[in-house]
Amino acid sequence: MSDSRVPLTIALAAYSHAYELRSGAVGLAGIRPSFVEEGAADADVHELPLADYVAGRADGDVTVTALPVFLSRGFVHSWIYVGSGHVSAPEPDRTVAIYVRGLLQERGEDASVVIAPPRCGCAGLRPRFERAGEVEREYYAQTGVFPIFRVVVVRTELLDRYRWLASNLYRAFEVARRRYFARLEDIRGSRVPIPSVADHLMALRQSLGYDVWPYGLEPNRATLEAFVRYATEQALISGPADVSDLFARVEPFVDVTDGV
Amino acid sequence: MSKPPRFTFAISSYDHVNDVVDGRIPIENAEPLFIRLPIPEMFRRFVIARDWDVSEMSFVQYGTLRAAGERGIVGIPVFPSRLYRQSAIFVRADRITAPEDLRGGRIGIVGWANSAGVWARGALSDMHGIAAADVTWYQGGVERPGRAEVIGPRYVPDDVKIVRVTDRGIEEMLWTGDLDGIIVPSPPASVEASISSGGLIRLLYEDFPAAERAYRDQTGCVPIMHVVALDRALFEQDPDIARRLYEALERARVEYFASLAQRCPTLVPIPWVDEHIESMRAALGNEVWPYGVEANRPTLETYLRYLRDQGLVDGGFGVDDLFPEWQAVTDER
Repeated sequence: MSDSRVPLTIALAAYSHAYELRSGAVGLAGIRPSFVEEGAADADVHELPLADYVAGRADGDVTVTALPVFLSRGFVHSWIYVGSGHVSAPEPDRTVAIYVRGLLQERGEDASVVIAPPRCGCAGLRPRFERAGEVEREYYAQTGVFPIFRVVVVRTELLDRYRWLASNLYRAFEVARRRYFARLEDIRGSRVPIPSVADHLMALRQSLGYDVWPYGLEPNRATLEAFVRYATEQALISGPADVSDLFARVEPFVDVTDGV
Repeated sequence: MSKPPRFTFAISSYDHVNDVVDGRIPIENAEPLFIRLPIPEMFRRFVIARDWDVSEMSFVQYGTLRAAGERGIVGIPVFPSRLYRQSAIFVRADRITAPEDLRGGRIGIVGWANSAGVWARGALSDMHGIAAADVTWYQGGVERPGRAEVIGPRYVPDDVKIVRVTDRGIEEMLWTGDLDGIIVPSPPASVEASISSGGLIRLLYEDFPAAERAYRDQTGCVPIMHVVALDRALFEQDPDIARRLYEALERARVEYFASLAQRCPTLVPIPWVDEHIESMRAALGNEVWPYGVEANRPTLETYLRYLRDQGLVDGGFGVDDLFPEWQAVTDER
């Protein structure tokens, strides 16, 4: 039997919110996926740190194009430490560092801080913010910025060849994401081992809106524009870019069960 | 090493279990074939027909059967599903405005030995002093009438009144006013719609997060809904399989919590989940979702107290009678 689906190699970390894509529970229309080792940069679909992608694009590298799918993101005030004496911390993540320096400079605060993962237990460091979560929620309420760490990219040549490919990939990620969040509220069984996780999700929706972890360009515009602004100020790129130009154009996903 | 046993293992999809099902975390010296079907069907077919060698099953049914002398199933203290059931109680707003109003009332249930129901009734008793005998219980199907219990109650105290309903669903009886409330593991569509539109049928606890928190703080429990059990034939053939199964599932659980702590890439997309877990540690201890007997002793004692109060087990059955085979093949006492 012939299979005319487009073969695609996909390299992703073991994200819970993309699990149903890997398991095959969420189908990829027109695509025959093979999932390969995380970090395989030659895979047709893989992830890049947002800083690397934005810098590459600014340098004219268009071999890959991002989808507005943001698997990895997080608030960064909890990454900020101040050092005393001898400090041993891992090399800071470049994307996180751009957000941290950008938002501190924006507030006119001293940006000579140490950046390390939250609760890193690094010697000689103490958190810059005692109650980082509260500061992060306040920051989001004021700015609408929910820092994005990585983007999913596709080889541009494939997107040029198959005009439906970007939207089909996007919708599959979106469906997997929605199903993940529905699992957190599943009352037939606890799909994650976190007591009262549905209560926590309700609280998250108070802070972040119904879609607590949105994909798509528009719901993420404030974040992406902040990142590009910070990257420009910090000379990662030379001039402000229109964030729309960074992403493949995708049809928004419409859930027909929503009664549209 | 002996030849690895081949066996079937029926279990639902859980983020803390799927690495075992997908083979990323192997079960040492074993050749499992995983089966995934809707939960009620998987459970019923294991309990009644023993269609699989290893199965997730209702924890209330497990305890009830073991206490009644059933030795054909051998449990391991792995608890894939745990849920507070404060949000499983639905009431008529014209009659019930506070939990205490349920005293003397009529409540529909899907089965006396239903895990959600046992924990919900236990919580009504612990938090509001409403004992099983203070309510008349109507057991039946939710939408479709005549649902029979997979296993029925055995020692129901004389003063507990359970009425079997065969001609109507308990959902209909709630709307017509023949019931004041229902306790169901998942609400039917009409109840769901009523809750979201502020209609006649409401949650008993409109602020169920607060009710769950109060219950957690008072009891230190995370109610256990499901357990993993083996058909005794497999256990007899290879008793150590109980240990190997436990270890693979425990490793998947531990790795889940490691992935939860990872901040880039964010393998689990739940912002501020560390604050949420931290907020429960005063009540639950450092491990908020442990497997094993010792780490769950307070929850298991509460569970057996509820089973005794509700007539599902008799007085002589204790925590160490739940998993004696597993305790014997591991070092846990």
